[in-house]
Amino acid sequence: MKRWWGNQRGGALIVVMMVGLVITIGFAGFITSGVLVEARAVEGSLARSRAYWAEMGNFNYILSRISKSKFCSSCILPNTNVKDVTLAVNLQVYFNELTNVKTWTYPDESSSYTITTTDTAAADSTAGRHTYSGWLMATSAYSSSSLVSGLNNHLPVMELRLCVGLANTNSQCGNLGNNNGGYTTAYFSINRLTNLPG
Amino acid sequence: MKSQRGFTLMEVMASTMATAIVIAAASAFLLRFLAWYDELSAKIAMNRHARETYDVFSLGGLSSTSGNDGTKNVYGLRERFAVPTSSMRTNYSIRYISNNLTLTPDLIASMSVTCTGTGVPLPDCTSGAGTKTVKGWLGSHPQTNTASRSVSNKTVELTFTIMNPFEVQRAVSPSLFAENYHVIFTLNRNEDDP
Repeated sequence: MKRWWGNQRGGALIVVMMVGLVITIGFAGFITSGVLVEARAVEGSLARSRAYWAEMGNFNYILSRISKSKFCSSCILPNTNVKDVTLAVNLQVYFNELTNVKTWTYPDESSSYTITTTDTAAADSTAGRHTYSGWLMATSAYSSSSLVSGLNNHLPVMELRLCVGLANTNSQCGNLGNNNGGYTTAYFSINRLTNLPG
Repeated sequence: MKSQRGFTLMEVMASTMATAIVIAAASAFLLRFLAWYDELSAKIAMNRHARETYDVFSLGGLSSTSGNDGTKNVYGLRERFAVPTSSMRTNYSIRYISNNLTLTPDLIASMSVTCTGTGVPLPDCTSGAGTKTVKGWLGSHPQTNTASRSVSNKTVELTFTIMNPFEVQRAVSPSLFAENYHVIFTLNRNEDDP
């Protein structure tokens, strides 16, 4: 006994249509996957903008703060021979003043959408740095809520390297291996503010 | 000719049905894809306008005429002693005033938008609050906080909302096309603003 579709020569059309349907579904899945990737990229771009400006606010505050307070802590201005490691501690104090504005919440997105910035000051880690060279650095990091945690390694991390404690406005910052006196003054020069690749 | 039997009615009906199913599925997917494209393009545009807004508020700009201090500088918040007392938005577009000069960048052609509910379609709509004139991308008045979110009154927290003025009017969920942004700026000027 022959099957009914065996008698129907047009049955091939049904097979063709089925194949077409499968291809359509496959193509739809492929495009949907691409759209989801693109949607995540757009959300990532939004998070990066928010994180970038949060960090820029921090670093610009710090530079203003240096100009205002001259790194002097419990000392009489002008002061000299202040070690880089001590200046770094004072720089960290300035960063810590931002404690109240280091966490950024976006409840309109979700109650679990937060970006928290953390900035760390230190004496420049470059080998050969002198005790009073004035070279400091600051690095940023993020901790974020579960909603944006997948982006943690892709948010714009910044690194600031600057020479502080210059004797006057026209002073050239010495090499890392030179002492520049360890002054507590408002003068500084920025070697670089790097937006590190995320 | 007798050897050309063609298709039976059942064959033609079955294949037509299968074709219709495939076309319907493809059409539905095409429409959905166009909606996705629209949504993603709109959000990318919002990100771009947010960056422009950050720049204007942070750095200010340059005017074609001279201001109070004889320069054409429109000082950004970082270059000010105090935050502006006047609103930084007019008709949903940026209006930034400094040095007696006014910047109104990022304008679009004027549209009339009717509020239909709270936050619908514009983020600051209140229920049945009539018609708004929209000429820009700022969804709400930029807010400044120089108290609880300030360091020694020398920083200001700025909060603003960027919306897509085109998408909010036709979206089922207009809030999808409005995003909030925060930033702190240090007020670096030590004497009164010009």
